[in-house]
Amino acid sequence: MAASPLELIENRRSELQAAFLAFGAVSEQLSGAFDSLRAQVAQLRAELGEARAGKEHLAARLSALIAGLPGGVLVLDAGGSILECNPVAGELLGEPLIAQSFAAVLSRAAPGAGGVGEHTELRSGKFVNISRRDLQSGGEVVLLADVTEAHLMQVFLTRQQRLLTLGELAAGLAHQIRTPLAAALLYASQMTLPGRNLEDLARCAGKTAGSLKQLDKLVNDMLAFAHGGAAREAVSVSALLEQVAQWLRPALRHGVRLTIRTQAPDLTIRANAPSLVSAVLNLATNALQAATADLDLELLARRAPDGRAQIVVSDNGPGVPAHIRQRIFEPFFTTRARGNGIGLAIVKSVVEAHQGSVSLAEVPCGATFIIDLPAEDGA
Amino acid sequence: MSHANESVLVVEDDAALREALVDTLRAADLPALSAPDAPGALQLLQSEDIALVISDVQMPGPNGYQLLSSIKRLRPDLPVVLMTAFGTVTQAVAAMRAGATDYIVKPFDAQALIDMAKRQLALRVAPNEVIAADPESKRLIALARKIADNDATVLITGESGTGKEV
Repeated sequence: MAASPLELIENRRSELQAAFLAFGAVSEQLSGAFDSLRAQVAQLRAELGEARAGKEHLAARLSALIAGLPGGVLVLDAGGSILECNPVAGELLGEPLIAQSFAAVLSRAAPGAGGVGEHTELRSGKFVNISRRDLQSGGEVVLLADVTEAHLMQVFLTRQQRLLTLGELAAGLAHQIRTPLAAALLYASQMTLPGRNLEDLARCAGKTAGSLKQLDKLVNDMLAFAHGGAAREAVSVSALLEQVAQWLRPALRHGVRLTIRTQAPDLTIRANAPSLVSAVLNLATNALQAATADLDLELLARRAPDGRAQIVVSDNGPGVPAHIRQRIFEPFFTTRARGNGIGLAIVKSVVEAHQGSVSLAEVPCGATFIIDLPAEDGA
Repeated sequence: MSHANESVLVVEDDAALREALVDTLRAADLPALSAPDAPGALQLLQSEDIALVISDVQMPGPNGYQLLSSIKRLRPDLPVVLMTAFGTVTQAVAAMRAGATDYIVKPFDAQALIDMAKRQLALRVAPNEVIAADPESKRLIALARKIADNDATVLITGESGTGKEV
């Protein structure tokens, strides 16, 4: 049986209604999904905004920090041109800086400076310490630290130390001069005492002259110390030692054995023979004076492995006590009651004037001084 | 009491100056002996009749001040004069503070040395010699001698009845 038209319409209406309902549900779902997406987008956008603000804040803080650094900062590209710099860099090196070659800027700001190193002097009178470091991204970062104050302090300190040394030298010299001067004054003034006979006067005059000669010798020693001898000639080292021996032999007392040895007979040096002879003689005399018993004293001429000439003065005496080893070459340093402390200082000065060096060797027994000099044949 | 055999002891490390000092004293008929350092001086003090010590301040080994304090222990009454370097007031002050009887500034002439030595020896030759063996008493006598020819006011303290009346 076929459905009545009314039934058909009713059927269609309910189908349509169901479809509408279904559509309505789907559309509601869709709009819900859209709303949630929109919310997510808004949240993401907010997060992104925050992140961007943080990054900008960080960048701003960094650049403020670099601008406010007490040192100069420059960023160079791989070619050495200045990409960025802070205001202190501008103050120290002078504008313009950007796009300039750093090497050119530096030679403009610090003429005569090596570039990198400690305490570069700038044209402005300031001193900077320049340090450079390669960047991972290529190029370099350069840091300029203002060390003017530290530099001036160091200069001041060095000058103070030099003055102190000079003061000690002057005090030592004053003491050396005062003693013979006191003796000379005593003898000279004795001549005017009542009841002096001719013999007394002659003796006082002689003693006065003796003290004055001692003063004169002191002045000569000081001059020798200052100059170290001037004229140079080719001298055979063994002949030089023979001269020393000639001076030394009359002074040898009983129980002293002197040996002269030459390992290199053809060894010659350019020297002022009298001053070098007196330097070696000084070392030998020290050995004689330090010894209280029998003594073996040896003067040796030899060629060092590096070809230089060496004069070795060695003995089997008491040696140099460890605690004064460092000081024996200092002017006016002495352990002797009558020493003036100039002897070894003169030896050092004379040897150094010959482009050589003198040292006290570390030996188990006695004292061994080595004078090291450039040999005439090159080395 | 006779002092004819008593000598002046000169202590000086520099041999030439030591000889000059002894020569000068002898030129004024003052018997003089000498030592190059403090140990030598103390040895002579034991064996010889010494009336006055004239010592350098700056010496290798024990210096003048150390010698002075050794002498003060051995013979508190013995006058000691220290020779100080020119221009060092602090050395002179230190010398007096350490108990030196006097000081003389180097360099000095013969007459200054002789006058100083004679003055010290004259102070020592008191007409009424006080006899004392106790080091404390000797120190007191030495102090009294030192201030005797000085018009500074001195405060004398002590127990009642110990004879402070002057």
